[in-house]
Formats: sequence, C-alpha cells, structure tokens
Amino acid sequence: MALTVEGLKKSYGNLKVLDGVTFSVEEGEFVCLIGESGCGKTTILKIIAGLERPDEGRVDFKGVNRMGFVFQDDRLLPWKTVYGNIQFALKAMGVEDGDVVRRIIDFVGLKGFENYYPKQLSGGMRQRVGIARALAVNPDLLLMDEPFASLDARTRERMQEELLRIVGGKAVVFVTHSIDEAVYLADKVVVLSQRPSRVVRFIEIDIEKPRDRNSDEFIEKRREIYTALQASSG
Amino acid sequence: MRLKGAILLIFLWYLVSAITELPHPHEVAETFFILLFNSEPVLGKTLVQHAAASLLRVLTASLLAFSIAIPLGIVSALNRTLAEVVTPMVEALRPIPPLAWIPLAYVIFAPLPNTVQVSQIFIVFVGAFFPCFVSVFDYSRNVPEELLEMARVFKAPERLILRDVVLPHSLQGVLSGIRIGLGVGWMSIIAAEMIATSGEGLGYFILVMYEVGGRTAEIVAGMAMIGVIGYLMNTLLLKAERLVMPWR
Repeated sequence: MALTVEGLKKSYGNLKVLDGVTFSVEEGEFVCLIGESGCGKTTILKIIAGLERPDEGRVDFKGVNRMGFVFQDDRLLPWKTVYGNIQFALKAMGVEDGDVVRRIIDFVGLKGFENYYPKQLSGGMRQRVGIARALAVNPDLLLMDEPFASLDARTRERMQEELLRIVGGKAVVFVTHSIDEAVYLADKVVVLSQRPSRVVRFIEIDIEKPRDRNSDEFIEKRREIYTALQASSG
Repeated sequence: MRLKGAILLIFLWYLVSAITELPHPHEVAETFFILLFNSEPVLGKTLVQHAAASLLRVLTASLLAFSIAIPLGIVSALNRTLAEVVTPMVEALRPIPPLAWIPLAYVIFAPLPNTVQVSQIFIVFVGAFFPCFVSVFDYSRNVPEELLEMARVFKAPERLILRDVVLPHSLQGVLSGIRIGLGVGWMSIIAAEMIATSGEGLGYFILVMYEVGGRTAEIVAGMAMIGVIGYLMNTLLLKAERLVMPWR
C-alpha cells in the first residue's frame, strides 16, 4: 500500500467540499479520481501533497519518499527554458544533476527542445515539460490534476498513451472528469459524488494495457462509470 | 502608415506656420542640422554638446534614483512591515510633480557651492525615483500565486524561490521602471535647466534662445532634439528589455 486516504473532510467557510473521502492506492497502481467539475478533486490532491490541511481525516504514506505533482495549467517558469524548468525540481531538493535532466528530457520526448522557453512550445509540449519536471525528482507517487484537460482531443489521446509508458510502475493519483480518460489509464477508478464529495463507487479496470478504446470491455467499463456518475448526481 | 503620419504632421506644421510665428519646417530643419555640430554663437556650444550635458545630468541622477528605488522596491514588496512604512511615504510624495520641487530645491541647496547642479540632480532624482519604485514594487509583490504554489509543491527552499521565482518576475518591473523613470527624468531635466543659469543643456539653450529675442527656429530645433533623444532612449531600452528577457 503506497497511500491511504481516510475520511477526509474539508470546508471553506460555509462551503462543504469534502464529506469523508476514503480510498487507497497500492504500490504501482494507477488510480483515477473522477467526478464533476467543482466536486473537490483538486482539493483532495492538494491535501495529499501537503498544500492544504483537511478539517478531519488523515493521509498515510507507505514507502513514499517523494511526490511529483503535475498541474492542470502547466505552471512552468516563463523565464526558464525546458532544461531550467526541469532542473528547478532537482534544485528544490538540493540536487543539481545535469545528467538526470538530460535523461528525463530524452525520456519524455523533448530532445532538441532543451533551450526553448515555455511560450515557444505548444500546449502538449508544455504539459510534457510539466510531467518531466514531476518525474525528475524520481517520485514514488505521482499526483496529476487534470493534466490534459486543456489539450485538443488528438494530442490528449497521444499524451495518454505516452503517459502510461512514462510512469511505468509508479503509483499515480490522476484527477479527471473524462470517463474515457479514466477507463484508458486507470487500474482503479474512484467515482466521487457532487459537492460535498464522497466516494460513490470503486471500479476496478482489469483490461490489459494498452487498451483499445473501441473494444466491448472498454465500452462496458465506460458505461459502468457513466451510470455511477449519473446515479451520484441524482 | 508612419510615413503618412509624418507627412500630415509636416503639412499641418506649414499650415500653422502660415498664420503664426511658428517657423516653417524647412527653416527649423536647416537650423537643426547646422547647429547639430556647429556652435551657436550666444552660448558657443553645438546642439550635440547641449544634449550631452543634459543627458549626463539625467543619467547621473537616474542611476542614483534607481540604485535606491530598485532594492527598496523589492525589499518592501517582500517585507510587510517595511511596506507599511514605505508605501504611505511614497504615496504622499509621488503625486507632487518633480517640477514643483524646483524652487524649493534651489533654496534648500543654496548654501552649497554648486547649487544649480545639485538642485538639477535632485529634481531628476525625484522624477526618476517614484515611477521606478512603483513599477518594481508592484511586480515584486504580484508574483503569480500559481508559480509560488508550484515551488512549494516541489518543496523549494525560500532562497531558491527568491532566486528562481520572485526575482526573475521582478525583473520586468525593474526594466519598465528604468525605462519610465528615465523618461520622466528626461522631462524633468529640461524644466530644471530652464530655471537657473546652467551654462549648457537643452533646456537652458531653449530658454536663452527665447531671452535673446524669440529665435523661434533655434527654439524649435532644441525641442526637436529633446524629442529625438527621448525617442532614442525609449527605443534603446525596449530593445535592451528584449535582450535581457528573451522569454517574453
């Protein structure tokens, strides 16, 4: 078990966002949190990352020394090149290893773009840099907050395919509101209700990767999640 | 488009010259190019020498202003206590135009042997300081929250956040502060030179040309020089910004 989230509750003033969220992530498991916009998915990630404190509940890690975070907006430093942005994550943990940076750049397919500034890159490329930055710290757990939400459909699918290759066997918590994305990526889908958020259902997806988006079992899982989401929004 | 604008301006200029004392464009152009490198007899200096004198005063005073405004702007933005002391002072003094300080400056600095120079430096200092401080302060204080959050997620230590996030963001404020500050300083020096006997300088040149009998061609030639230098400074600094901040 890499991560256990237990009974998270959180309110902002009178706005109740989380109402007892519980789930766990196994070592090497890819978990998707799915729910409607504004249901508090991002809040869950921020609590796991230690950016916010829950009012109640707890987060337990096991064998997690470092976390990587990929944001919905790329959050790259505009004044740093691709190389500099990835290196920033390493400097943050007190390491300055150029080899690691170069290896990661190769690995995520950014070779040749080392000296580009973020504004010179497409949205897909910027997200790649964001993913590379998160991977640079060699995280045991990767937190991803709708990283592909702003990409066009084709780029998005390509990024999903590559992501599976890139994250390898790391534990991942991936927030999305796209059912298709969840079925394509996840080992386990955590379906959240509308705000205030609770876990409605866990859905295991045991289809072998890479998955065929048009296969019967894929479509069946998609329907299952859709139904769960529908039921939760009542 | 630019050419059309220039032609229209010259046309209007001729029109106004026909009915007022304004010298014709070709007269001004002639005077301008002659005086550029030939001494004008009353003061015995060329336009270039006058411009250089003014420019030197502006640069000295602005450098002085920037070397205080930039660090003070950054530090005040990062330190709430300091900001609470500094911003009310700045807000109280900033609305007073630098030109309003001129008479007071000449009185206050009268005991000094070089009253005129010191006063002029002071006035340009006032002109350059405030826009620069405000620009630096605003940028340094408004580092995007998303970037700071990103830095915290990666557990970046404060020193790294300052060096790689806050200061690079402030740089834009520093550079625009320098550009705007120099612009205001340049306008202030011309006015300051018109008040007292400065010996040289574009403002002084224009004033003397007026006093010796309304030599309008020389006056407008001096004004043109002011415009040319102001334009060049601005263009040069914009180019420098692109060079210093290639990411923009």
